[in-house]
Amino acid sequence: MTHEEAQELIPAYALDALDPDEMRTAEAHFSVCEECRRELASLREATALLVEGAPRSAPPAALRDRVLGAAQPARRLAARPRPWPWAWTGWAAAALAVVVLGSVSLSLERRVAAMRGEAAAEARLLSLLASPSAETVELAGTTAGSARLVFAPGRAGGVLVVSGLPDPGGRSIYQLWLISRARPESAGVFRPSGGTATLVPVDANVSRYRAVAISVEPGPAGSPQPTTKPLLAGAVAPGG
Amino acid sequence: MVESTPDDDGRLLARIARSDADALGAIYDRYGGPVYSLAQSLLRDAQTAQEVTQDVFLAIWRDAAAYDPQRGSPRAWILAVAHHKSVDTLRRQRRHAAVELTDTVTGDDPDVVSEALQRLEGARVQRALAALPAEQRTVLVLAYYGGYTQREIAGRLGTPLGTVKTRMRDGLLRLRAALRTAEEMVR
Repeated sequence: MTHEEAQELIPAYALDALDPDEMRTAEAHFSVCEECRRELASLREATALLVEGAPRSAPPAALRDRVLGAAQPARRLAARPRPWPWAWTGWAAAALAVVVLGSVSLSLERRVAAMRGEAAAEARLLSLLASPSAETVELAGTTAGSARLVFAPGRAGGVLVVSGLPDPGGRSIYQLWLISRARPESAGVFRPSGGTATLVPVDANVSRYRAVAISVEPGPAGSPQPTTKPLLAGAVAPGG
Repeated sequence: MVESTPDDDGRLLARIARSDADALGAIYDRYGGPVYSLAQSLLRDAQTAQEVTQDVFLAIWRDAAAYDPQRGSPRAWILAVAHHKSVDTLRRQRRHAAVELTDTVTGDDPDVVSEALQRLEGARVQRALAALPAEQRTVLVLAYYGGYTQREIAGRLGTPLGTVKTRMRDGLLRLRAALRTAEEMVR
C-alpha cells in the first residue's frame, strides 16, 4: 500500500469503518509512517466529539469496583513481553550459521560451536529453518545497519539477524514487533553485540503477520507497545 | 461530563503505567460515563455494555505505558479504544445473528439514521453535524453510532462504495474543521 492509499483510509479507520483486511493493511503502513499517525491522532479528536451524541446512561456503581478489582499489577505485568530467552541463543546462532550467512567467519563458527547445545529440539528447529521454503523479510529504514527475519512459512519459529545497528544508548534496548492487527505484538528485545551479527529467536508463526518492525524501547524488558517510531520495518509477503 | 485537561489526564496515565490503581480509579471517574454510554448506545444491552466498559479500562491499565501524547489527547485515545471495542463486539453479535437468522435480519431497521439523529445528545455535536451536508452526516452517523463499515453502509444505502468513502472522508474532515473553528472562537 502506498502512502497516498493509506492516507485515504485514515478517516474511515478513525471511525472503525474499514473491513478487517483494509484495517490490517492500513495499520502496517501506520506503524512505519509518522505523518499518517499524526493525521489519525488529529482525526480522533474529531471522532471523540461524537461520543457526546450518545445518550447518556450511568454505569452501575458496582462496575467501578469490578474494574479496579480486575486491574491487578500482576495482570499488567503478565501482559509485558517475556524477557529475552537466553537459552535459545544456541540454536539461533547455529541456525544462522547454517541458513543465513552461508559462509561464516571462523571465529563466529567457533563461538557458535561453543554456545551450541545438543538437544534434539535444537536440531529439529535447525532443520526447519534450513528448509528450502524458508522466507526472508528484509527490514529497511532510516538507521545504519541491517536486519532480516528468516522464517519457515506456515510454521512457528524464526530468527532475526541484525548487523551494524548502533548501540541504542543508556538503558535502552531494541524491540522487535510483529504487526497484524490494531496492536503490534512484541517478539522480544535485544541489544546488538558489537562487531558480529546479533540473533534474535522469534517463536511466533511469522506468516500470520503483515509486517515486522524494530523500535528503541526502555530496557531491560522493553514496552508492552511501541513508544518510539520504528527504525526499521518490512512487510511479510502475502501468502508467504 | 467532567471537564479535564489533557495534562491532568496525561499525568494520570503516567501513574497508571506505574500500576497506580488510584489513578485508574480517577480515569474511570472521568471517562466511565462516556465509555459506558457509548457502549450502551451501540450495543443496546446493559450487561454487554458493562463487559465492554470493563474491557476498555483494563486495556488502558495494560497499555498506559505505551500511550504517546503525540498520538492524540488521552481523551481521544480512551474514546477511540471504547468505540473500537464496542464496534468489535457489535460486529461479532451481528455475524452470530446473521448465521442464526439469515433471512430475517437482512432488512433490519432502515431508519437507523433518523433514529440516531433524533436521540443525539450534546449541543456541540448536534450543531457540528447539522452543519454538514445531509449525505455526509448520514455516513458519519451510520459509521459512528451504527457501527457499520463503509461496505455495509454502501449496501444499506444502495450507494456505490467509492461514493460512501468520499462522503465519509469529506464529512470527518469537515467535522474536524468545524471543531477547530469552535475552539478558536472560545479562545
